Parts: sequence; structure tokens; C-alpha cells
Amino acid sequence: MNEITAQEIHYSYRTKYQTVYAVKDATFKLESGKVYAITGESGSGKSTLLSLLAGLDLPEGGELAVDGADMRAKDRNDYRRREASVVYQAYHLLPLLTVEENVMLPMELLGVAKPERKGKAAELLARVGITEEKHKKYPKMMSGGEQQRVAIARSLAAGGRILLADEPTGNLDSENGKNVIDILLSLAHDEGYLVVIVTHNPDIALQADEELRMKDGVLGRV
Amino acid sequence: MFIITNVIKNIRRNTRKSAIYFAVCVAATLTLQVYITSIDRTQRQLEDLPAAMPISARVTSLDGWRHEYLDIKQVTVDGLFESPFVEDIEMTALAHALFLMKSADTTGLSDTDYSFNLLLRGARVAAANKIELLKELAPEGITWLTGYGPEIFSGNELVCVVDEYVLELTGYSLGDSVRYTRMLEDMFDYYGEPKYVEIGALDSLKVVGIMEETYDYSVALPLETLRQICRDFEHPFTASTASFSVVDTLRLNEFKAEMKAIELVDTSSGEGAHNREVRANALGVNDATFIGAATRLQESLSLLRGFLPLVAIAIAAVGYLVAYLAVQTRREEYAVYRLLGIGKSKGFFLFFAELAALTVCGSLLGAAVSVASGIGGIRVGALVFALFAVCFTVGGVIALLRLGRTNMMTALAQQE
Ligand SMILES: Nc1ncnc2c1ncn2[C@@H]1O[C@H](COP(=O)(O)OP(=O)(O)OP(=O)(O)O)[C@@H](O)[C@H]1O
Ligand SMILES: [Mg+2]
Repeated sequence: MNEITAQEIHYSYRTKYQTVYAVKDATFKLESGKVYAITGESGSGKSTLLSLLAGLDLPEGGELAVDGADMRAKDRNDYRRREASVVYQAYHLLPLLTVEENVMLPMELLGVAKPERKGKAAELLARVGITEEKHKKYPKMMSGGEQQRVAIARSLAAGGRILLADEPTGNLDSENGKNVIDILLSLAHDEGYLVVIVTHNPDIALQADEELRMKDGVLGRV
Repeated sequence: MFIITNVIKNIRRNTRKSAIYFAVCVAATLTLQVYITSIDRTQRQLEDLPAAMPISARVTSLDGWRHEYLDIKQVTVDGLFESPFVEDIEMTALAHALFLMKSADTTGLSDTDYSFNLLLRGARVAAANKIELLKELAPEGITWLTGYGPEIFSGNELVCVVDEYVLELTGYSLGDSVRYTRMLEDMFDYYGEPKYVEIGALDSLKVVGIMEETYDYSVALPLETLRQICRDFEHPFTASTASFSVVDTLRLNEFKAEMKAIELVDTSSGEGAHNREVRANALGVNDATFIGAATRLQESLSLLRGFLPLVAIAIAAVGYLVAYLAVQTRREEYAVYRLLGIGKSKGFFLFFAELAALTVCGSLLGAAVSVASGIGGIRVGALVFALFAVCFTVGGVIALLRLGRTNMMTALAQQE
């Protein structure tokens, strides 16, 4: 069981010329086995919030804890290696690694032996519907939908149970988009993942267990 | 292990970028090699200059014109023989009236005869450390005692070459040992001739050669023999000519200072004009061409060396630029590695190892090519390799540090 709690967290981007308060006040609690949709206007701070959940940076104030452990006390690299993974609209697969190698990389970082890595990667790729003859291809040779599915396979590879997705269907047609969302829903409902999806799409928000709406950096439940 | 396999993968799969980076390394190494080699060559030329362009020097009169019949002081003579800068000394000395040759049998001679005969003839002694220096002496006109020859002059045996007239006069013949006495010029007698007083006798000087009569002297001795006799007599030794070659010519100023210390005036400094000392001698050094050549070499060497830091900075700048171009398009990649949980330093090292591997291989190849094609030696090649690798790495590290400052959140949020 995973549980993420946020208590009045805030975050700002400081540049030479200005300070942008991207997240002003977010208080919420997320649990395993559920899909959360974060919605809101462009620039309302959704991606920033997701990055904070991924431990890419720390909130400037407030409390953010995973399973009761404060984020500030965590080794955040280790947190991203083992517990949480992120899927982006732009896929972000490593261009110089093959599909298979991309999926194997998180396991390699955890020291999993090669045959085991290979087996698990094949399993995960089969699960997101990537056929075997595509394993040796480079990401750039695949369609957007395929790349996003590979990205999901990679995010499952380390075995962490927190899956964060920032507009995962933004670059996909409706068919491929539906495909990806189905995978995410099944991960939460059948396997107990904690899934957070940032999205503009009201249909996806409806499919989620809970919708969290952000407005000008403030998050409240709908 | 992960880093090694990843680096190899990335280099191989990023073929075009790797090839460009590699080619820049090779080209830059070759250029640097040419540069360092020219420094090395100039340095070597400068080191070889003394051998290629020896400097000769001689003692002259104060005005610099005369270099014979000088009165070179003992301190100068001893100083020349002891100086580490001085080699191949050629020296002559005239020692008139230092000693006389006693007749084999003086019983039949009156005092006047004795003085007259010996004063005019036996008292005029010349010494040299090479027979050629005794200009009036025709080597082919000498009759040598068996076992002796011109080489006696470079030694210090108690031997002499006497002119045939003196020999006849004193009643000696070839192979005899001549007794000689030290005489002191005392005063003039009533004939107006200087009167010599005998103040001591020394052993014998073997006659090993008979020479034809000369105008200047009647007895010729090896230089060292005369120096020894002077020491025995406690009489100051003076030389009349001295020339030599200068070694270690790159320290010409130290040499000149030493010559000054042994009382040879440096005429080039204009000191000679003010020197009132009667017996003073000067140093004549024909160093103009040498100094010209050495100065030119030293100038170009210091110019080349002076530019070395600039060249190093330029290489580092090229290294920075190439590394920057190589990694600039890979910000996203770096951010993805970080996203997957690779720490900042490991991520940095991942990219660094890639650049370092290419740099090392590229510059090794560049150095190898230039050594093989004879541009520079192995020593220079190794130096160039090290210098290039360090400069390029510095440039690369700066480029990578900029990459390390990438804001992950911005890089990852990009919608492509
Ligand atoms: N790296 C950054 N530096 C400065 N300001 C930033 C940076 N990233 C985001 N911002 C600003 O922070 C605010 C929140 O941005 P964020 O990307 O979180 O919004 P968003 O809700 O994800 O928007 P969108 O729906 O367009 O993706 C915006 O005003 C944005 O301009
Ligand atoms: Mg966003």
C-alpha cells in the first residue's frame, strides 16, 4: 500500500527577472489502487505538482510525505529508481537505446542480472502490446502510441508502485489514447498501483476515481 | 560496468557526432604537435649552437689591437687555466734573463766572456704549449734527439730546444743535461751591459733538439716546464700571447664576469679607455655572430613559449565548443537519465566518460600519426597527448557542468 500526503505545499520558479508561484497551496491525500486525474487550465501548475510528486525537486514549504516518510528526508534519486516513475507527453525514451534496452535500463540500475532483465522486459512489452520484432528498434522508428506504451513498460520495470503521467495521451490519436488509458486504469484497479494522470481531457477525468482540479496553483477536490 | 557498456553503446550509436568529435581531436592534436615540435627544434638548435658555432677569444692590449708581446699577469694566466669556460688554451711566454745556461766548462772563460756569451744568447727563452705558436721556429729545421719531437711542447718535461750557436758556445751537445742558474738583473757594469748576479742554481734541462738560429730567442721550452721553473724560482710567470676557445657559450655573461675577476678588461664595455694600469690587458671575444644567432633563437623560443598558454586556452576553448555542441542536443537525454534515478554526479560522469574516451582515443591517434609521419618524436608526442587531453578535458568539463545545471523539470515538461 502506498500513500502520498500533501499538506499546504507550495513551489515557485525564480528567474532573474521574476518569480512565478506555480503551486501555491495544495493539500491532498492519494492512495494505492486508485486513478487520480489532475485537471486545470494551462499554466495552473499541474506539471509542477507532478514533478514534486516525482521528487524532481522539493516543495518550498508544507509537508509532502510518501508512506509517512517526509520527502525532504528521502534519497530522491533512490525514490525515482525504486518507487515512483513518470510518463510524459513527449515519451522521453532514450534515443540511443533500443526499445528493449530502454525497458531494461531501470532494472540495470537496480543491479538485476541480464537474463532476468531481458525476460522481464519481454513480459512488460508484451503486456503493453509491443510485439517482439520491435524490441530491437530505436524509439525514433516507432509511432507515438508505440513509444508511449514503451514508456509505460519502462515505468513499470523497476517495480515501483507509484505511476505518474503528465498528459500521456496529449500526442496520441483517440484510439491510441484510449489504449494507454486502459493500461493505466488496469494497473491501478487490477494491480494496486497508485496512478496520477495530468490531463486536459474531460473523458479521462471522468474515468478516474477522483478528479483534482487546480486553479492558479491551488488544488481542491471536485 | 553500467557506465562502460553505456558509453560504448552511445559512442557507437551516435556515429556521426562521435566521428566529428574524434576528427577534431585528431586534427587539434596534429596542430599542437607541429607547434610543440617547433618549440622543441628551436630549443635543440639553441643547445647545439655552441658546438656549431664555437667562440674563440684572446688576450689583447687595452686598445684591442695588439695580441703579441703582451705582459699577461700571472693571476690572469692561472685564472685562464682554472676557468671552466676556457678550453684549448694556446699560450706563449718570453722569459728573457730569467736564467742562464752555464757553460759546460767555464774555467777557460773570463767573467766578461761568460756574461757576454750567455747574456746575449742563453738568456732569451721562449715557451709555448704548441710548437706552431713559436713562429720563428721552423719545425723542419730542428734536429731531434731520438725519441723526442714537437709533442714535447704540450708536456712538462725538463727538456729544451737550443739554438746551435749557443750550444756550440756553451760546449754542450744534443742529449746533454744543461745546468742552469737563476740570475737577477742587478745593475749595469762599466761597459754599460746589465750585470747579472747569480742567486741560485737548479738542476738540469735536457737538450733534446737543436734549432737553427732565430732572432727572438735561443732556447725554447714547453710552456708548463717554464711555469714550473718560475714556481721553483718564486718568480712571477707572465705570458706574451694567449688565445682559447670558450665553452658553455650560452653563459657568456658569467664567462665575462669571470674574465673580469682575473683582471682582463672588457673592452666592449668601454672600460679600457679609462684604465690607467700600465700592465692591464683586455679580452677580445669574437662573439658577434654567435650572440646574433643565439639572440634570434632565444627570441623565437620565448615567442613560441609565450604563446603556449594561449594555445592551451584555444584548445580548451575548442574542447569546450565541441563538447558543448556534442552534449547540447542531449539535455533531454541527460534529464531522462536523472529521471530514472541516476544521481547528478553519475549522470555527469556518464557523459564525461563518453567525451573522455573519444578525447583519449582521438589524441592518441593524432599523436601516433604525427610520430609515425615524423613530425615529432615520441617524447613530444607524449607531451602533446598529455597537454591536449588535459586542455580538452577542461573544456569538456566546463561544457558538462553547464549541462549539469539543466533544469530537469523544464527539460522534461517540454512537449517536443
Ligand atoms: N522552468 C520554469 N521557469 C519559470 N517558470 C516556469 C517554469 N516551468 C513552469 N513555469 C511557470 O509555472 C506555471 C505553472 O506551470 P506548469 O507547467 O506547472 O503548468 P501546467 O498546468 O502544467 O500547464 P500546461 O497545461 O500548459 O502544461 C506557469 O505559469 C509556467 O509559466
Ligand atoms: Mg503541463
